[in-house]
Amino acid sequence: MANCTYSVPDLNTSGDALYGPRICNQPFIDWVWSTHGFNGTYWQGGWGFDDCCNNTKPLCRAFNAFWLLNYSADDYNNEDWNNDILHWGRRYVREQLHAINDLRAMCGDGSAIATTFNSGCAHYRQVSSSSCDDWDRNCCDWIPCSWVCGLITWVCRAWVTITGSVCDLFVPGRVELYLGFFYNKDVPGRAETLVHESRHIGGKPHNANFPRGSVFGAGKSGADSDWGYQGAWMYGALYLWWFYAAGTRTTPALRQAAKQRGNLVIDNAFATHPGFTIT
Amino acid sequence: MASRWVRLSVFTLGAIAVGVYIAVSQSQRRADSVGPSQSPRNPFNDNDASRALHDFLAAAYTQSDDGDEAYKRALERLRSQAEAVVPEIARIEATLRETDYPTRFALILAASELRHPAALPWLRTVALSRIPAERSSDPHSFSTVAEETILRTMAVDGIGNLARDNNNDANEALFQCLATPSLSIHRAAVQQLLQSPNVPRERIVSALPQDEHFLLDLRRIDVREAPQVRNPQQTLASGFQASGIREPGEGTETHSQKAEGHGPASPPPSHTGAEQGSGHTSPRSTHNPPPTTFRS
Repeated sequence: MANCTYSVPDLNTSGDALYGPRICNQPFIDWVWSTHGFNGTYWQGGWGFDDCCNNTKPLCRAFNAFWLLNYSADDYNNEDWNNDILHWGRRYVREQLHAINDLRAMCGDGSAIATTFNSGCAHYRQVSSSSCDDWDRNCCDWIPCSWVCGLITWVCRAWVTITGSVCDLFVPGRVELYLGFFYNKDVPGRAETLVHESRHIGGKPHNANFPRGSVFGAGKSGADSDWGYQGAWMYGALYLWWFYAAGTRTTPALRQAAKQRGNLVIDNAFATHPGFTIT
Repeated sequence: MASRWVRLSVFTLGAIAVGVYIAVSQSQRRADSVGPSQSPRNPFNDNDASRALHDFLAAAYTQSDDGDEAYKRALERLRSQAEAVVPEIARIEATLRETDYPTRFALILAASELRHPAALPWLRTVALSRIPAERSSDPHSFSTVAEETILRTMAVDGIGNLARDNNNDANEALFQCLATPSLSIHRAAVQQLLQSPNVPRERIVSALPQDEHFLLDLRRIDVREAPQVRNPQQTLASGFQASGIREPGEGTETHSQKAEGHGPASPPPSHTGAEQGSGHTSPRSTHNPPPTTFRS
C-alpha cells in the first residue's frame, strides 16, 4: 500500500470544470460504475468514492473522461460498429473494461499513467483462435477427411479455451490508472488513454520500435508498425482526430488540444509514418 | 499406472493451489491511499489584461447555448489589449508547475488566438525552447517530452497564424523551428510554411534534413478520408464478440446472442440524466457543487 498526494491544476483548462457538473447525476454514476469494471476497493481512501462529484478528486476526473467518451458524438445513441470511432469508441471501452472487470486507481511510481495487465492472455487467445479458424477454413469437404479436420478444429478450439482460462487464472487481468492520468492530462487526453488501454485488453500488443526522432524514445519498443496494424496508437489517434473534427458538447479549446495530441501520436508512435496530418 | 495417476493428481492439485493462492493474494492486496497537497493559488492579477485573459480562458473552456458569442466577446476584449496581455501570459506561464500541461497549453492557445505581432517573441521563445530531458521511465505510457512537444507545436501553429498575415518575422521563426531536433515541431512548421504566402517550397526543402522531406508531402485530409478501424467488434476481449447489437436510434439493446462471462455492458443513460439509476453499491453523488475555478 502506498500513500501519495496530488496537486490540482486549473479546472477550466483541464476540462474538469466543464465535465464535472455533467457527471454529477446518480443515473450516470450508477451506470458508469457498474458497466466499466470499477473495483471499489481501489477507489476509496481519498480516491473519491465518497465524494465522486468533486472534480478535484480522481474518481470524478475519471468519470469526466467516460462522460466525454459517451456523449461526444452528436447522435450518441448510435454506437453501431459500422460507424466511426467517435460513435463506437465508448462501446469498445465499455465492453473491454467490463470484460476485464478490474479498474483500479493507484499512486504509481510516476513513470506510467496507466497499465493494462494480462493483455498477453487476450492476445494469445485472439491469435490462437484465429489460427483454429484458419485451419477450419482450409478443411477439406469430402468425407471422412472433413470429419477428421472438424475434429482437429474442435480440439484446437477446446485447447485454446482451456489454456486461455488457465492463463486468466494465473494472471488475473486488470487496468491500473495512476496519478498522472488524473492530474497531468486533460479530459480528452484521459479518454484517449482509455481507448489506448482498451485496445491492449483486446489483445493487441505494440509490435515495433519507435522511429528516429520519436518523443517516446527512438529505438525503444512500444510503437506500432504502421497505421494499418490497427493497434492501440491508431485507436487513440483516430479517436482524438474524430473528437477534434466532430466532437460535440465540448469546447473549441479542448478540441484544439485533441488535434495537437493526435498529431503527436501520428508523428511519433508509428515505425512508418502514416503519411497524413490532422489540419 | 496407478502411481502415474497419483503424480498427475498431485501436480494438478498443486497447480490449482498455486492459482488459488495467486488469486487470493491479488484480491487481498491493499489499495493505495491518496490526498491533496497544496493546490496552486490563483495566478491572475487584478488588472485589465489579467482579467481579460482570465475571462477569455473561462469562455474558451465553457460550453453553453451562447458559448460562441461569449467566446467572441472575450476574444475581442483580449485582442483589444494584446500588448498588455502578452506579458501577463508569460508571467502566469512562468508561475505554473511544469506538469500543469493543460494550463500551459491554454496560455499558448490564448497567445496564438491574439494573432498580434506582440505575441510573436513569446511564441517563438516557447517553440524554440529546449525540451527538458524525459522524466518518465516509461515514455510509452506517459512522456514529459511528448507533453512539452504538444505545447511547442501549438506555439508553432500560433506563429503560423501570423505568417499567413504576411509577417516575415513569423516566417523566419518557422524556419528557425526547422533547426530544432524535434520531428513534430518540423512537421508543424512545414505545414504552416506551406500555407504561408511568398515562401518558396525550395527553401523549405533545403532547410529540412533529407530524411524528412516526406513532411512536405503529408496529406492534409479530413478524418473521414483516413483509414478507419475495420470490424472493431472482432478485437473485443474473449466472451464479448457476441455482445448486444444496438438497434439504430433505439434506447435499448437487443441481444442477438447471450455473451459469456459478464455479459454485455448496457448502454448509457441519456446525457441529461433523466433516467433512474438502479445501482446500490456505486458511489453516491453529493449535494456539494463541484469547484469550477482556481481556488485561492
